Amino acid sequence: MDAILEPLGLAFFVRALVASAMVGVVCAVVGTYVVLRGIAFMGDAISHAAFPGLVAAYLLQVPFYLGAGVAAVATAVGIGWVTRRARIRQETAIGVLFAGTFALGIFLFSTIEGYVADLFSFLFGNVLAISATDLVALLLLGAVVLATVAGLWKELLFATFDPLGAGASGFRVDWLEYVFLGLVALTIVVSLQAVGIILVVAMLVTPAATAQLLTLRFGRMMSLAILVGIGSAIVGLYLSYWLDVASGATIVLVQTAAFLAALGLGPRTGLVARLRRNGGAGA
Amino acid sequence: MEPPNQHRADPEPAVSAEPGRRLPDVSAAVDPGHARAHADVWLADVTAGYEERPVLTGVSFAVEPGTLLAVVGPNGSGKSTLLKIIAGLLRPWSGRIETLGHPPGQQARRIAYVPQAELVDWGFPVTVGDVVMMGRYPRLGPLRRPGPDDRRAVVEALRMVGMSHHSGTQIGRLSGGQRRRVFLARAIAGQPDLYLLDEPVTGIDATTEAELMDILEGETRRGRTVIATTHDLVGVADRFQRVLAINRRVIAYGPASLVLDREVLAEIYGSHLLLLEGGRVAVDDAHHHDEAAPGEVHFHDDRPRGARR
Repeated sequence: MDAILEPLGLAFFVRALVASAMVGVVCAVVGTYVVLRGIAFMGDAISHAAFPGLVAAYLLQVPFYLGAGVAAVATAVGIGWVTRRARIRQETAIGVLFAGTFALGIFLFSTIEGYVADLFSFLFGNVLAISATDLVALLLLGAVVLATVAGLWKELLFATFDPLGAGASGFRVDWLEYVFLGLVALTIVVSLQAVGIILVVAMLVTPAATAQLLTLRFGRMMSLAILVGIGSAIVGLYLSYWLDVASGATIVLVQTAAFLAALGLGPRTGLVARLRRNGGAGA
Repeated sequence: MEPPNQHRADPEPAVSAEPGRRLPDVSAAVDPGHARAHADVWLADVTAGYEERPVLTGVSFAVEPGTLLAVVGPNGSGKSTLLKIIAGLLRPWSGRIETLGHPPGQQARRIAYVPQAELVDWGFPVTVGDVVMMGRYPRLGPLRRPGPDDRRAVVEALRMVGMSHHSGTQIGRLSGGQRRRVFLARAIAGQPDLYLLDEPVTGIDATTEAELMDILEGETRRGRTVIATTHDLVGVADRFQRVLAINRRVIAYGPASLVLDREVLAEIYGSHLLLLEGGRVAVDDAHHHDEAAPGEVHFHDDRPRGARR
């Protein structure tokens, strides 16, 4: 019990806990749509595109949320635009932008003289170092994302499930696409401090993918994804504190474990269910 | 996609349209201004395609309110493209269109569009009730959640298509016919003035097809217009008032009995058309049939017009 309560006396741990939980919620909500649209690769590309924004923000002495946000949103809209133009395939466009933007980040980074610990923490995440100001910014941005999803609930659901039907009955599917990519970009910016650029795609995809193994209802899938997101954030953070290991990686490993457990035990994919079915068929 | 053509006719005896023969085109006989003013859907010399590839060329026709119209033609003939143009989902390269008296897209809330079953992600975590409720979404304002009226409309639409007991079922667990019923229910729930249905009866059993056609007929009697693409020429002859036969352009347009003659069919389907004894013809284009069951896809050229099964 002490092992659980003791870290709560530390302000930095509480901040990290609140930040991780918010990241877990926002990633689960947006990730549900990402998984159902099958655009996980897009999330990876947008997160890597945030890197040059971070470095530029550092060089220009502006808040990192601003730099990362501008870069991520610009890339998201850029991918959407290139895809709509349809002259090249989406995966090709993503591949080009993914590597190109990340290279730009490394290029800018190499112009900085001396060692900069902050930027490495963005590559791999260090939520235990989050400042009170950054936490407030994270909570506000997260709230904006959640409010947008709540406000566009039916539009996003309809356009994700049946873009043709939604478009024919008057929903601006093209604008919804841009808004959604913008939400993915903001979600990534919110998550950067918790898990870093490299691992953020796991936060976005794994809880929702886990939930998809367990239910066939949209609302339930999102609720389960939120549970997995918050749960693995809290468990992962405690584990990283107790074992003194990297927090972002630990959170992602807990999520991966949850996914594998759902895969093994889930009602449709699970070994247990399969054994039971086979047993029933044999009886 | 398509199975090999096991019944393809020897090209020799296949009927060929006589050059210069006037195919029935009722719209050409009508004063164009009059047709436009009274039409739910009106197209004049419309050409459209994807990227640089034209799919439809010089398409003109008008559909009056309360019409049950079948769009027939082989795969790749532009049937789906035509529906998308009318729905405002695809902008034509040239020509003029009015849908419900306005440019396509402006009256979107009065239109229900049902995509082909192959384009739907049946693994998507939504229930039958969720899908039918989407038919109500266009009627709800921004930020509005469905209310009692919407739930009533969903219940009624599900009752009409005979799916009341499946409201909570995930859509992937339905049979092919049930899936078409659900999407028709979604269209009905929105109480549209214009139905645009892409292959609503493809790949379903005869009972379901007859029931869905009864519902569509009922809707047209209430003044709604239904435009459906289809492969089932027998169903077309029996159940649709009018037929638009296309193959990248309009081949024929008019009453079903006039359009579905041998010359028109030959021009639409080319070598896919099979001549049977006694002047009957069959089309082996219907990709969901491995083998044309007797009486299923043949058409009696000499049967009494307007006869019902």
